[in-house]
Amino acid sequence: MGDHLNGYGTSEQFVLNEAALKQNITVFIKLFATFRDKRFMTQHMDFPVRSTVREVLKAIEIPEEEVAICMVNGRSKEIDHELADGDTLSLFPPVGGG
Amino acid sequence: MHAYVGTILRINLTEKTIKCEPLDVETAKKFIGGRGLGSYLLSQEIDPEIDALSPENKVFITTGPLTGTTVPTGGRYMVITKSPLTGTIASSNSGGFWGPELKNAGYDIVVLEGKAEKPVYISIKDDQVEIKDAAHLWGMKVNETTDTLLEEFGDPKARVLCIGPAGENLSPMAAIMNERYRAAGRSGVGAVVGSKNVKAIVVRGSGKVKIADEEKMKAFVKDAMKKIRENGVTGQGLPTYGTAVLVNIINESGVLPTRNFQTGVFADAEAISGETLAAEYLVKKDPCYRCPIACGRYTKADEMEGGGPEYETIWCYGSDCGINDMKAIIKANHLCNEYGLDTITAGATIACAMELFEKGYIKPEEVDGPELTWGNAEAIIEWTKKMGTSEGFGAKLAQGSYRLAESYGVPEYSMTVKKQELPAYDPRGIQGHGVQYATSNRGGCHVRGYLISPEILGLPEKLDRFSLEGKPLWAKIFQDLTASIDASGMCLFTSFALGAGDYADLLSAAWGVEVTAEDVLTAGDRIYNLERIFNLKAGLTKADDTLPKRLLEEPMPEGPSKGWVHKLDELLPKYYEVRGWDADGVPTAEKRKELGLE
Repeated sequence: MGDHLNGYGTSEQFVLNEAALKQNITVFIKLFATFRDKRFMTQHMDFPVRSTVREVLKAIEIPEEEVAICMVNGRSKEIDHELADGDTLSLFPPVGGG
Repeated sequence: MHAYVGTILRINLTEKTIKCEPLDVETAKKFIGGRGLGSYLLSQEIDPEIDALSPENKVFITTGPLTGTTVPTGGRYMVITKSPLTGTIASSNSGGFWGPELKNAGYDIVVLEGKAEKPVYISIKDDQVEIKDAAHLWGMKVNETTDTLLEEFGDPKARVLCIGPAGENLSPMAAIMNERYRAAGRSGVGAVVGSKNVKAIVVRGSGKVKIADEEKMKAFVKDAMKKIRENGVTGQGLPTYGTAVLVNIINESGVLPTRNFQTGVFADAEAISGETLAAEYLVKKDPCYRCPIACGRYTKADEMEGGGPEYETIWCYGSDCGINDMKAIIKANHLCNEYGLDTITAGATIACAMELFEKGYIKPEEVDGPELTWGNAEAIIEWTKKMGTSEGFGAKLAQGSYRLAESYGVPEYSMTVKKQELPAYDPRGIQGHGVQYATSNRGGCHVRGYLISPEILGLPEKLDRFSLEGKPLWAKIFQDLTASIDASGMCLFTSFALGAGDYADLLSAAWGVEVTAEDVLTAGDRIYNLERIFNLKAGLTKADDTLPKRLLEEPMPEGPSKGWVHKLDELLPKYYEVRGWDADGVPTAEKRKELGLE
């Protein structure tokens, strides 16, 4: 997309509108450490538009309080962060080391 | 005598004398013990300008007041000396069981001074201390040395600390090993021991460390154990996966050093992750003295088995060398343990050599072994052996990445601070951690102030890893608390679950005097400034408080930290200010007075 959008706003707005028109967003979910037990390592999943991390956790049955680190596209985010189509969500239980 | 056993064992190798000296308890308390007291004694007894490998250098092997007590993780000892790698003060920490055994034998500290005429080892059985011939041990690797000494000592419960061939060859990346797999790894402390012609120290003790208030201690230990067990990191993450669990999280953050810090994203991170290690190679956990965390791993790959690898070994031999072969990493780790090499400096030096090879500085004809190409599993194994024996081109590598890159006229390809290789976190995407790297008193190091905790793991609170706000003060507080933990004899990993107040409580019960959280942090500040003053006297300046050019000038090329460089020039002046140092990074007279360091 690009030039043909002239006069209709930025391409970013266009993506947003396109997402709004879509029923669902697709999120790439990556699970780590014990979260993988009886679940999966990575998976693409669809959610209704405007879904937050909380809805994803509900769907994959991870209690909120077990999430120590939540990253969206590599950046730390809170559980109520609203996801966008194409986001990568990485979820970790408490981990650390050095 | 409480918490300390009250005796310094001084061994002069030139004179072949063994002396027991009383420990000055008041001075000891001022610096707590371990790293603090060792740094004080080194500063008192040597000229910081001497050659680290000369007989004038001394080695202080120190325990803390909590070493050998009932305190969880109270098994640490430290090695303090002048470093042949960095020219700074060196203080390397190790776990296992050697430290408590030394205290049970009746000594807080062992001092090695002078130089033996021929290879020797030290045998300690309570008050029977001997300097013994080690001609038959010289050249042996760590496992064989340990087996031989246990046999000779005649007690399987004895604890062996030794150097491998790397220490004998005076490689500035040589470690001191204890109980085969535990390492006082960094800054070339093994080379200093090698320069004194000392191969090993075997110890067995029948005593017990006494503390002042048993009842109080029982209650504080119970409380600390509860906190450690209930904390997600120390109660779940580290026990299940060991330190290697970090591979994925650091890669997801786009700060996993890859191909000599050319990028922060490694496509094959999963193959070298803690999850993969646990699923495919873990044999058992291998805990240290009184440790409820048990992060230590014991792994097997083909015919090689033993302790490790830690996260710090996996990143430098893995992503930093473009290696996705976990088996090869386990083998390289095993070889480092056998030859007595610091895995971080060893792996990161091979990564630097691979970049020098890629860029055409190292010519194929000078390389008498496997090609130094990214991802070459055979190369990391063979070059580790050759560094361990200082054979052929391996002798050049065994000098560390700074001296290697400098010999080609391009020291900027060495990812070091003060000539010591940086650990596993690219500071372009972790701004606070970067200022900590630049100001660490032993050069590139993560365990002098682990800001990964707030900046990545969100502990004790979540900080924006790209923000500069408040980071100099965070760096100072973490550095100070770390210095006190290192001085106490406890493991730094307890700090995921415990705070300054908890360490104060444990010290109070051990000493029988009231210690506050503020006292703990002040002691840390004192230790940090003491080390800084040593370094300044050794000739280091503000110019040494820096990061490799790449991290300051080349924006991260891809991933979640894309576009960032490290903003050290903005952070450093503020760091000096919160430290109470002048614009040149020198502790002011007021600061010295405040800390009792005049």
